[in-house]
Amino acid sequence: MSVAIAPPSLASPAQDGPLTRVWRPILGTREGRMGVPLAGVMVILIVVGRFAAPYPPDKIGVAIPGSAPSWEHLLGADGLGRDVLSRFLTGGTSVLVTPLGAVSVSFLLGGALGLLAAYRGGVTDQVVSRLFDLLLTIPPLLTVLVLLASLGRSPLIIILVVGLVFIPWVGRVARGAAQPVVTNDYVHAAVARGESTWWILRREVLPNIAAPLIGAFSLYLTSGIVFVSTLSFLGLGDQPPSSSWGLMVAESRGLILTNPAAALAPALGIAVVSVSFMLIADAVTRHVLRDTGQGRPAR
Amino acid sequence: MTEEALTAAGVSVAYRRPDGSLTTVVSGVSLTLEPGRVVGLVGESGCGKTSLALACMGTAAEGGVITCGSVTLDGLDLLTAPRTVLRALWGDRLAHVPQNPATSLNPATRIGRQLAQPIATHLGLTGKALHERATDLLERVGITHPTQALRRYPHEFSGGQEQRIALALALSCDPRVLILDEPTTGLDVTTQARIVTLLQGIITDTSAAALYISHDLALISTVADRLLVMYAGEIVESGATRDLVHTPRHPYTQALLAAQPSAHERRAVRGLPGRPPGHVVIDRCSFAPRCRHAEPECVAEHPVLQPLPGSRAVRCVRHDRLEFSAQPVDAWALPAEPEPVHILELDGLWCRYRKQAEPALSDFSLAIARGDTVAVVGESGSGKSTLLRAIAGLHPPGEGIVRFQGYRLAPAVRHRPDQVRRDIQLVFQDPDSSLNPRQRVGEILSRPIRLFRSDVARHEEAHTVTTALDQVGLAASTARRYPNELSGGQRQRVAVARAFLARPALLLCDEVTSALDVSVQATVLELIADLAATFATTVIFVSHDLAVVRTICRRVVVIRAGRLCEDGQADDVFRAPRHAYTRELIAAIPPPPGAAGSRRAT
Amino acid sequence: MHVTIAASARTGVKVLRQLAAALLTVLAVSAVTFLATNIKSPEDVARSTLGRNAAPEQITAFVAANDLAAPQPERYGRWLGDFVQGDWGTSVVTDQPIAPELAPRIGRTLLLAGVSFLVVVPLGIALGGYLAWRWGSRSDVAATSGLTMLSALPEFVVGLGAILVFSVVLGVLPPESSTAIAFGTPQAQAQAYVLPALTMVLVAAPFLVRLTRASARESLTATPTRAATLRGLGRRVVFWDYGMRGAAVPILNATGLTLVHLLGGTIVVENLFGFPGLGQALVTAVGTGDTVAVQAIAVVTASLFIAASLLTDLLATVFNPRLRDIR
Repeated sequence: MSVAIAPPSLASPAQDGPLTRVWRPILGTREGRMGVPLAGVMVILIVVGRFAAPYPPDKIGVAIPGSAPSWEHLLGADGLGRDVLSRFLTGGTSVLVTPLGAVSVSFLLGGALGLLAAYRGGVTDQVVSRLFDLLLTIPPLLTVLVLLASLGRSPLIIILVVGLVFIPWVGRVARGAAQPVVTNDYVHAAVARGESTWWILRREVLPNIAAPLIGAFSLYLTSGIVFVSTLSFLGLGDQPPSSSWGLMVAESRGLILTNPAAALAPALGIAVVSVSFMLIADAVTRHVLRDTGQGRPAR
Repeated sequence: MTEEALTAAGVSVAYRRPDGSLTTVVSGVSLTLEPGRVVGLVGESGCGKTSLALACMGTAAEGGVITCGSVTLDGLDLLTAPRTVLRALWGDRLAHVPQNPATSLNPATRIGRQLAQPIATHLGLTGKALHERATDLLERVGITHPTQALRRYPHEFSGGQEQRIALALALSCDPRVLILDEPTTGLDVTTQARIVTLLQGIITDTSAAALYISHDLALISTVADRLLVMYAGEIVESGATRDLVHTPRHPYTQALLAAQPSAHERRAVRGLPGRPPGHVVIDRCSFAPRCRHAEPECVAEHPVLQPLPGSRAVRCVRHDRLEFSAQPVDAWALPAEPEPVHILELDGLWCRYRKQAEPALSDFSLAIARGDTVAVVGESGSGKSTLLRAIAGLHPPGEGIVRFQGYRLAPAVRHRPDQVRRDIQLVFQDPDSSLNPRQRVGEILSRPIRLFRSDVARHEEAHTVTTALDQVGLAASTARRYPNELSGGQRQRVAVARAFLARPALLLCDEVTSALDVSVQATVLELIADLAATFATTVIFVSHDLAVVRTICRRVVVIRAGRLCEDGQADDVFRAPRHAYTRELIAAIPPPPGAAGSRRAT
Repeated sequence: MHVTIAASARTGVKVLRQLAAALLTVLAVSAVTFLATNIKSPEDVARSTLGRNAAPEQITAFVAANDLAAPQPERYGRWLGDFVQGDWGTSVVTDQPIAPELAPRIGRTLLLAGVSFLVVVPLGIALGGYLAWRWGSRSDVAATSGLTMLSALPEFVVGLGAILVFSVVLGVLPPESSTAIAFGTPQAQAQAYVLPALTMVLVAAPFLVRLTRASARESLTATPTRAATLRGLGRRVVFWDYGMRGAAVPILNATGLTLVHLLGGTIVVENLFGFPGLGQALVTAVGTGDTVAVQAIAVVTASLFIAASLLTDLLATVFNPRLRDIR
């Protein structure tokens, strides 16, 4: 039972680019107002925090190993006597940069595949979908572990492998977003006019899936952050003596009863980064997408 | 005097907007339902009729609030009754039948279980008595082998059967009051006719009081004894059906009647420009902006519903000074006779969809004369849209030849030369999907100019766009708007403008008015006819609506299950159909409002 | 059940097809992992185990001993043959046969995942259904926000939080499982499962709850449900028969995905708690470059995942009357 009411004037002046359209409304939502400042703080901390580190992060023995927080060492020391605070201030980069790279890779490749599958339909779609389904039965962590076992652990390899593993997820989202668009008559009209596939994908389809793709990007960025920090925790990311946060947690796990701060500080850091990005992603997908012209007014 | 089954008095309904304010969509509606009688409510989209229907049940949709009034059933005010009381009444004494009733069937449970629930709840039957009643109900709606049917799931039945089962379900406890909210809208003409007959039978047999809501004036005037005309949330006219359709007193009623095409004669239709307000207007006459007879007094104050002799009422300050007949006298002017040359020849077309067993088009052959206006008529799934897509090259036929202006066309559009792509243009059915929501109207219209109009230089493009908009009756400022800022009718006009900008030789119209209100439909039809005459365009008009077809087309082709059934001049086909299926279609059309035999006898 | 013979046959064929597809997937995975783990040249494999500065004779001996020089398809074939007979190879690092080492681990991992599954499914669906019933209320909004934030946390962070609360602050549960499981009484062993299982439940719950809530809500606002309400059916009947039934298939799918999710989660959780299961073995094998072990564990793990997915698909087919009829 649909309700026929005219929507409050839809003549929105904000029919500008997709990025402008999402930025302002994000701050209008509760999640956005919580997530953006929090994320901002963390990004600043990660980028410039290293300049405030009181001790060299790799220097062994500046404090008694496993000692609790004190005035000289605000977060205490880890198992090798390194200052936890300094290591914390320098170890956040891979929490952000690697996932960003990986998710970008998966969006470029997965997005293209999904779009193509949706547009071409038929055999192309069947093949691509089956491929995605196959890859999706296996949890990504397993695939990444197996690949990293043989390919090594440089940051570039991690970016590529993680990006690769996310491709079926992104591809499915892109395909799902593009399918209802592709069946629209304005696409058929373009085909009937003789427009090239490239033109149609760029001018008719892409603008209409930009919003859901941006939403998906923010969501998968969060997944990426979780994923990469997990890899780091498992010892498959940056190698020692790196102070990458995940690695810090793994190394200091045993100290949980003597100096919990050594493991908790980096864990909390990861938690805050991922939660704040998740809040932003939530704001983008739920509130913003509902308002931006994807809906149709009642006749 | 017959007793009243349900009375609504001064009902108003509003909706809460996201910011908390209320928008009134129904205002001060009163109506009375009597046993054995049908009250028809006519209104176009956005007039608030669904909200009213729910209010008559004593409830509102999500976000809705009934702000005042009363709805009395057997002395009980439904609007103040507690939920438990309402639930006891719903299904038992008061039933609601929604649009496309089949969608109210639960796909996950068997029919028997669904039927049993209301019967057990309201009538307290169990075991054998329950089973008997369920089978009786199914028999009543014409389901054969009811005992087996009870064990089946909804998807195991045909579409028409599902509709009937849904009716049985809604009416399972022989309710005394029926609220029918567009029960046959969107159904095939033949299914529609059967459902309407079924409903009439049930109403007569059980002496139920019924409210029949529809936008289809022709249909409703065959069913209802009294009519209420609703506009912008208010009743603007009411009275006996016969009186209203012969001598309407409100300009809107008259406009509705004038916009109705007739399948029985080629009658001119007059459209209503503009669109209705989406909410109640309280400081003036809500219809004034679109009314041909408006005067300053119409916008000075809000007209009240004035009773007239003969249990009629009208909401118009000028009603005593207006005089109009129900139908325009003139006939629709067809374009000039077609030339004796064939612009399009179809030879043995076969079209298949990948997952279906039956072909969409079977051995279809047709020749179209240049300058003609040809209708292709069929019900859903008949293959009529596939036919257009095959001609346009969007769905290449598996076999068969398409010849255009003497030349054989490549099956797929991308292999065709530019000229052909320019000369064959399509206008689609759904105004929501035919324009790219991310492009402004100006951009949308520039594209065919750039591709097909070598006679227009770059700097002249904007001017050409403005001229095109003007030709379809839209302001020049429309070029800066986005499609979602326009109404459905306006969007279709842009689509028509887009097609004619290419100056096509052949225009393919795929159900272009099916998604529009009747008053808007008429304007779009007039538009297509005018432009086709101006540019000497041949038109192929696909539709399931025989009345529209009768009005604007000279020649009719009937298609069923991918095959050609009948082909002839419209007048001949309608007066003396030769194929059994054509006869069935024509028989299913409701007689025009006002004709003899169009009303149920009192 | 009113099922004709033809319908049973159709269902049977569909089941067989799904089984075959699953088997093929396992084979494909084994082939791909074999390729991946054997990407390095035999010499590189030897070097990564023996160390970079190993002498050439040691490398040659190693290659010969582990038969690394034969062509890939042949080695794959041999490996496959051995695998199905129960010989999962010999660890390149410890020089011990892998199968007897893995067997008890499989049991422990399954037990861990199983216990978590049995806890999270009823709780998750119940909570999801409840939130759908109370959609938009303050408790719903609060719960959903909480779950969203929980789902943003990596598994090891959740686990760490659990350790913090129960081991550090409350001191009632052990922060790691290896000692208890290796040496402890049955009661201590059971205790060692609690924190890992709790972590897994917390990690898997948000997805299941949110999906149940969304599906139930969609079903509750769908046309059949509204029509049922307007027919005067009681609220309980409407909720279960129309609302939840309509959501049954998506919820079932989500449950299956949850099982897969849980199995995947064991990898990290076992590592955090030192839990001696498959996940821990996998990470250790990858970390030490034990390619043979990686191959074996990866295939076993993948088989478990695929079996779980298959189970979900089969159950979905049985429960959805419409799916049964599709050819």
